[in-house]
Amino acid sequence: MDKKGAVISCVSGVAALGILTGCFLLNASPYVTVTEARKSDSDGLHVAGQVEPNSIVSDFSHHEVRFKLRDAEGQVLPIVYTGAPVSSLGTATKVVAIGAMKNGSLQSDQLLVKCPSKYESKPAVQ
Amino acid sequence: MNDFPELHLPIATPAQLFIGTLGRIFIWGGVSLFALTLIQSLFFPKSRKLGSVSFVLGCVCIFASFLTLGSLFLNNQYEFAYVYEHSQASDAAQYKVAAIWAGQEGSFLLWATTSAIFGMLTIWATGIYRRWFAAVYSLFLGSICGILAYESPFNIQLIHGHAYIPPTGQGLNASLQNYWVVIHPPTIFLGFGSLTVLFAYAVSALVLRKYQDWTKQVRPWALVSLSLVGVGLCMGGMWAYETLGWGGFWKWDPVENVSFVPWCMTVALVHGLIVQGVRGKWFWSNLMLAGLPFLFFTYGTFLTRAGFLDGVSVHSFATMEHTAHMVLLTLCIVATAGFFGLWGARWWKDSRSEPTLLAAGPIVKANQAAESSAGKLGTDREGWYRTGSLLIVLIGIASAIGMSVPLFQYMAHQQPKVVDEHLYHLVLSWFFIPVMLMMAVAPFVGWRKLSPWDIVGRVFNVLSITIGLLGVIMMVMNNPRIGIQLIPNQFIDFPFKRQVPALPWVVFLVGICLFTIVGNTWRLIEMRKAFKLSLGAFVAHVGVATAMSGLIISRGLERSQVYELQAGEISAPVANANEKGDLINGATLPFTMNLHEIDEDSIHKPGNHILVDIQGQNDHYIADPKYVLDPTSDGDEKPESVPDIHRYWTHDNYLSMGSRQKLAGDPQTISVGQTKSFRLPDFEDGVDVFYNVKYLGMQRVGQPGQSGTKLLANLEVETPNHAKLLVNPGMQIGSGPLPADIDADYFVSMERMDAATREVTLQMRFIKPVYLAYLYYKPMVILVWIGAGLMFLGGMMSALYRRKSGKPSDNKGASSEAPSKKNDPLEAVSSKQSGSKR
Repeated sequence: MDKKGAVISCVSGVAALGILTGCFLLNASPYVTVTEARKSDSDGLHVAGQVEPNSIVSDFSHHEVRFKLRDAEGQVLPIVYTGAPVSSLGTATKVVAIGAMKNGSLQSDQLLVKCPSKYESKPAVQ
Repeated sequence: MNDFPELHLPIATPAQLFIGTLGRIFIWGGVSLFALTLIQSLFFPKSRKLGSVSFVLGCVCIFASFLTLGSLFLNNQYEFAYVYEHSQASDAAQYKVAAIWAGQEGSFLLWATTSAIFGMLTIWATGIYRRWFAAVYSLFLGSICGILAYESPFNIQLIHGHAYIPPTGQGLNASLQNYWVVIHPPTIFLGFGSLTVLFAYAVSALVLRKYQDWTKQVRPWALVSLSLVGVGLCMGGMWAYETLGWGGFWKWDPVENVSFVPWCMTVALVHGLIVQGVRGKWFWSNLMLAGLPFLFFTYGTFLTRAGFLDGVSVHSFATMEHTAHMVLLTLCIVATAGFFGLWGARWWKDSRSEPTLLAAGPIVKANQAAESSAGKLGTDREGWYRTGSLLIVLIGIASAIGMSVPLFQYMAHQQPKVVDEHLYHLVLSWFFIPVMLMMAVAPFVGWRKLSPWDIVGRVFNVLSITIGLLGVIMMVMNNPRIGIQLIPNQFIDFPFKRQVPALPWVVFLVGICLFTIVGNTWRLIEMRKAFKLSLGAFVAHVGVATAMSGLIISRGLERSQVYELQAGEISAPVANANEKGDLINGATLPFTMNLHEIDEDSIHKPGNHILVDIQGQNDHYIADPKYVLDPTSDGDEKPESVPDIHRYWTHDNYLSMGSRQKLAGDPQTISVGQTKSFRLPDFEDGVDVFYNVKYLGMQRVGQPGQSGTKLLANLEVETPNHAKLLVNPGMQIGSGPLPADIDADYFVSMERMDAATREVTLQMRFIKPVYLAYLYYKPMVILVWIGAGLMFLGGMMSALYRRKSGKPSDNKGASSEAPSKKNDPLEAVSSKQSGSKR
C-alpha cells in the first residue's frame, strides 16, 4: 500500500470513528430518574426501578399492562406498557421501562427485566 | 456428632471435602507452573525442556480442576457453594455438566480450559516463536488461574461451622434448561480460547521482529477462531430465539457485542493474512488485527463484570470478587498497554529504517513484481480487501463504542446513557451494505488491477441472475399459498428522522445478500476443481449472506398478534390497534386458537406444558409451550414459559405465552342505590361488553360479629343481553370472601366494605382465567440456520486446506495464494486483457 493510500485510510478511519462515537453519544438513550422523566419530553427515556408490590394490572381491553415503578430516590412513576408480554415482571428484581412521558405516565413499549438469577446465560449470555 | 439436630442433614466427610481441596490444589498448581514457564521463557531460554514440561503440567492442572468441578456436580456435592447455587439433584446429567459454566467462576475456568487446549495444540509447531509464545501464553493462563484462586468455584458453604450437605441445590434457571446451554458456551469459549493463540503469535512476532513467518503458522488458527466464534454467535442467537420469547435472534446487548467485536477483528485478520501471503504487505495491520480480538474480548469480560452495565443490560452480571476483579483489570491494562506499546515502538523503528527485516519470500517478490508491472489504473483485490477490512473493523469498533457508552458516561460523571437496538441498526446498516456488496464483487477481482468497467463486465452475469432471482422470489412471496401476505404501511426509521416503507427496504437488503450468494456460488462452481483452497471462503461468504438475509426477512416482514386464551374457548385474533384504531401490526394473523383444559395442580409443577390447538387456513397443529406458574411471596404468581416454535420450510410460527389474568376490568366502589357500569373484554368478537350493576343494599346472615356470619351485597346485574340477575357476593367472618357467579364468563367478588357508609368495592373476575399469548409469524427463519451451518462448514474447510498446505516449512501455502492463470479462468482473461492493452 502506498503512503498516500495509508494516509487516506487512516484519516477516513479516524474521521469515521469520531462520527460514530459522536453519533452514539448524542443519540444514546439517557437513564433518568422519575423526577427527570416528569420534566422531559424526549423519546427513549430509560427509567430504572423496582415494581411496586401489587401494582401490576393487565388491561386486556386496551392491550396494556399498567404498573408502578419506584426509582432509587423513592419516587413512583406509573408505567403503561404496550409491548410484547413479559412473563417475569412479577418477580423482577429490577425493571427498566423505555418510552416517553404522556399524561403523567410513561408510555412504554419495551421493558428490560432483570430476574433474580445468578446465571449469566450467554456466559459471558442471557 | 450433629450439634444442630434441627438441620437433620449429613455432614460432608473429609474424603468428600478433599475433592474440593484437590481442585484448589490444581488451581494453585496452575499458577505456580505457569509462573515457572514464564520465568524459564524470559530468563532461562535454554532450558526449553523444563518450560515445556511445566507448560504441559500447567495445562493438565487446568483440565484436572475442570474435571474435579464436573465431578462435584455429578456427585451432587451441594456442600460446595458453587455447586449448590447452580444445580439441583433432579437435573439431568447434561445440565449438571452445563452447570459447570453456569456461573462466573466456572466461565473463567472454561475460558482457561479452552485456552489451554489451544495452547497444547499450537505450542509444538511455533518454531522460532516458541520462547515468546510460551511466555505470553503462560502469563495469560497463570493470570486466569490467579483469578480462579481468589474467586474459587471450590468454596465450601459452612452452616454453623459445619459443611452440611443439603439434599439439593438451587438449580439451573428452568428457562435455560435446553440443549443450547450444553453446547453454546463450550463452542463460543473454544473460539475465545483460540484468540489467545493469535495474540501470543502477534506478540512473539513483534518481540522477535520477524514479521513475515508467523502468518503461515497462524492462518489456520485464525480460520478456526473465526469459525468457532462465528458459530458460537449464531448458537447464542438461536438460543435467545428459542427460549426468550421475544422472537428475535440479536439485540445488541453488551454481552452479545463482547463476542461480536472479536469476530469482526478476526474477519479482517483472515483477509489481511491473505494479502500478506500474496503481496508481503499489511504486516503492521495484521499484527494489530491478531492482537485486537483477544484484547477486545478481555476488555469486554472486564466491562461486563465491572458494574457499569448494571441495569443497562438484561443480563445478570454477578459482581466479581474484588481481588479477582483487580487481577482481571491488571491483565486487561498490562495486555493492552503492553501490546500497543510494543507495536508502536516496533512500527516507529522498523517501518522506515530497516526494510530488510520485512523482506518477503521469493513467491511474494514475484507477486510484487507482477503487481508493479500491471497497469496503474483501477483497483485490485488488495484494494477491495483493504476497504472491506476497514469497514468490518469499523463495524467492530462501532459496536465496542456502543457497548462502552455507559462506561464513558460514568467516567465523565455524566448521566448514564445506553445505545438502543434501533440506534445500532440505524448506524451499522450503512456499513453493512458496502460490506455485503464487496463480498459479492471481490471474488471476481483479481490481484491485477482492473478498471471499474472491467469489474462490471465480470459481475454482469451475476447481477443479471440476482435481479432475475429477486423477481422470482417476489412473485413466490406474493403467492398466497406459499408466501406471506405483505403488510402495507409499515415503515422503518432512517437517520435524520426520516422513514421509508419497510417492504422495498427489505427487498433491497435481501437483494444485496442475494447478490453475494449468487456471486460466491458462481465462483464456487467455477473454481471447484482448480483451486480448492478458496472454496471454503466462497462457502463461508454464501453462509454469511444467507444468514443475514434470514435475519432481515424474519425480522423485517414479521407479523405478530395478541391472543387472549381461555380453556375450551376458541380465540380469534384480537385486533392489534393503536389509539386511533389503526392496525399497528398489519392485518391480523389468520389463526384461531383453542386452549386445552388446564390442570391447576400440574401448572405449578416444573416442566409443565400447556396445549393449544392452532388452526390456520391450510394447517392445524397443537402447540405445547412450556408454562409453569411459580407462586411468589406476595401471593402473586410468576409465569415461567418457553415459547413453542412450529417450523415450516417457509416460516416459523412462534407462540410466546404471557401472564395469566384472573381479574376482569378495574375494581369499582359503589354506594347503596347507585348503578355502575363495568366494561369487560369479550374475546369472541373482540368488542368490549358492559355489565350494569345496581347495588340494592347490604344483608347480614347470622349474629353481628360472630364467626360464620355472612355479610352479603345485594346486587342487580344487567348482562349485555339485558337479562337482569340477582347476585350476592360478600364475605364470611372468620373464613373470608364469598364470590358469586354472574354467568358462564364472570363472577364478582367483594373486595372491601365500609361498615359506616356501606360502600362496597367490587371486582369482576373471569370464571376461566385468561392467558395472554403472542403469536409471531416469522418468514424464512430457516435461512438463518442454513447460513450458520454454511459459515461453519466454509470456515473449517478453509482451515483444513490451510493446515495441509500451510506447514511452516512448506512454501506451497504462499504460491497457492494467487491462482495461476491456467487454474482461474478470470486470471487468464485478465492477463489477456492486460496483454492486449499493452
